Amino acid sequence: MEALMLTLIFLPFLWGLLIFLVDRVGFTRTVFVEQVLLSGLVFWLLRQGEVSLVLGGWPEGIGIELASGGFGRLFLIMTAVAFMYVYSYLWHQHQEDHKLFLFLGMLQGALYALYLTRDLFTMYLMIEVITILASILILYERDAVSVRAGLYYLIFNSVGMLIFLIGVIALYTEVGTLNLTRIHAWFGAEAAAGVALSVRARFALACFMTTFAVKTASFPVGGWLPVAHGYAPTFISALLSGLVVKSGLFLYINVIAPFGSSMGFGITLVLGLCAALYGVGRAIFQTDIKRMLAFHTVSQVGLMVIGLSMYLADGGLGGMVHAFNHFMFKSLLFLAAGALARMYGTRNLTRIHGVMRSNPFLGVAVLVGVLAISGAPWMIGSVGKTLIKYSVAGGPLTPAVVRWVTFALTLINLGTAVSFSKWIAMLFGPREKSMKLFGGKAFAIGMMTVLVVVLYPLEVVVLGLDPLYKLSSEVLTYLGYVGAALGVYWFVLRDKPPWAVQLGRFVPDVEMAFFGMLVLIGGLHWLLVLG
Amino acid sequence: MMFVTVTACLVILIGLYGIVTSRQVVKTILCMNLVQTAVILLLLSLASRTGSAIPIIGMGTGGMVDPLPQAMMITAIVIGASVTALGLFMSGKLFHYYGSLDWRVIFHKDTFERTD
Repeated sequence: MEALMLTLIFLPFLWGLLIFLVDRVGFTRTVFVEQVLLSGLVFWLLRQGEVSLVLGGWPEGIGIELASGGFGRLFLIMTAVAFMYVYSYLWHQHQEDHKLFLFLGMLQGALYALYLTRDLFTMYLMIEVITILASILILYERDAVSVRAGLYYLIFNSVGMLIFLIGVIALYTEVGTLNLTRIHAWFGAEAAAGVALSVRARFALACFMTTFAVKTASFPVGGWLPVAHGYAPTFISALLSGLVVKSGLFLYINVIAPFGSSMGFGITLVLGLCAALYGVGRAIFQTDIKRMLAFHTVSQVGLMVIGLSMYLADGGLGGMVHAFNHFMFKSLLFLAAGALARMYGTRNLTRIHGVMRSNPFLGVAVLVGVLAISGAPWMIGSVGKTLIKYSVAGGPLTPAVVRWVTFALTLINLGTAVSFSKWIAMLFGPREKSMKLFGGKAFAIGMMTVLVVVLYPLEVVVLGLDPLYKLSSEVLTYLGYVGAALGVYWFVLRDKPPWAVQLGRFVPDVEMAFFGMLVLIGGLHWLLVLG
Repeated sequence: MMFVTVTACLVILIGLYGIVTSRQVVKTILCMNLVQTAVILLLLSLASRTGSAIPIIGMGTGGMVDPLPQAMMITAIVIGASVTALGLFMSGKLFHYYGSLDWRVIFHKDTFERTD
């Protein structure tokens, strides 16, 4: 049983290496067999419940521990699905590019290792490996814009992980172990005894919060995300925006939440709100199809962070549910955006029209993705958003704060609807020449469309939700968002006013972005250590 | 040891200051490397115990130093070297494309519109 857990980590890497060494397209096709095998392994692991393994036969708490359980299982499912669509999507264009399969195999193995590890240092190591591999994949096209995006991603995330390493050192000197199970038990015992967090523990928490903010692209350190996700190859953008960006959330659940700090809860809430509002505010004025989606990732991850803050406060699951659902619909939207950009020869949203007539299959996929991300009733996007909304209303916040947060959530939903009204406009209009989608791409987009649609009833059953609960009010609210969004589009954005174009093109200086990071580091340490 | 710890903390702060104020890509990477080295120094200073034996069975008597920080730091050094090497490779490419390593030039010069 334990050997199979290790297989999950090493098989993708070894298979990728084999594909690279054999260097034959015939053999490269076996990558799909490998993905089916890995999906089977994940399914088997999920059926086993809580499974753990200490490497090297060391006693528990001493050796490196791997375990499958808790939210980690959601991430395992996401990884299995992600690589299925990545390989399908890239097949037509990159089937002879065997080096790419090596890097993707290594990335998949590292992601499985991250989601299985119960050891703080291995977690650091895996996130760093993922950062390096993601940078290589971002610059894969090796043109000027990709290399710039790859370097920006590498520097920002590596600095974030250095701060994490300092936090690991501080926590290790305090607790004396790197095993997460033992660290959780230690914090539990301290909390039960009523002992307040020591200065060293609070310092470690501030370091982890900084890394969390960097990895989830929170304001003001989220500048790297639109650059990196906007200019990577499409399948990498989908992988990064759907899956890799959520490694920060995994870090939060496993490393930050056990501290049980009430100050940490407040900071997380503020970070989430700032990111969500900033992301959606910038997305509205974007005309580049992929940059707009990247800004929406900032916004949606902000929503998840708000949900996670509620997890810390009252155990609300909305953040994690939204993370899982966001992976599905954002992957779909990125894949569809890549296909559209390729077909029309432009990434400018305003130059793409008539998608529903030119390629109805892609039109339906886009429509499903837009409905899901805007939180339409009976689509998966609405599940997480609704859970977060009710979690905020029923949490420990004061009524005044609840009102402000609810107002912010309304603005975020409205902004998302306004922003995606441009996508709806793209669907209609005169038919362009007939545009075909190649097999692998069609399969990847079709698979994600089906998943986005069928997951709603599944989640209703698994989470025990009532699909009719306040349905009429939810439908009316959604229609209100759609009406307002179409109004803003028709009267303001449609004619592309110069000020909107300028806002869309605004790129903060790199110095400003790094300064934002320094302010965040200082601010968090001041609040958590000295406050 | 206190002196080494304080020095490591100071070097971390200098490195962070350098990252924020550098306008050159290579300088940013070097400052990042400086922080990395200082973090390694910090952990080694915290983990060292004067008079303790090296952590190998059969070598020395009495209490051993904690071997875990040393194992961690060897790995961190490898990661740091990889990040620096990759960063410098990208810097070379950027200079080839933009003719400059100034962040401001690099970020305000869009060479072409992407279609994928």
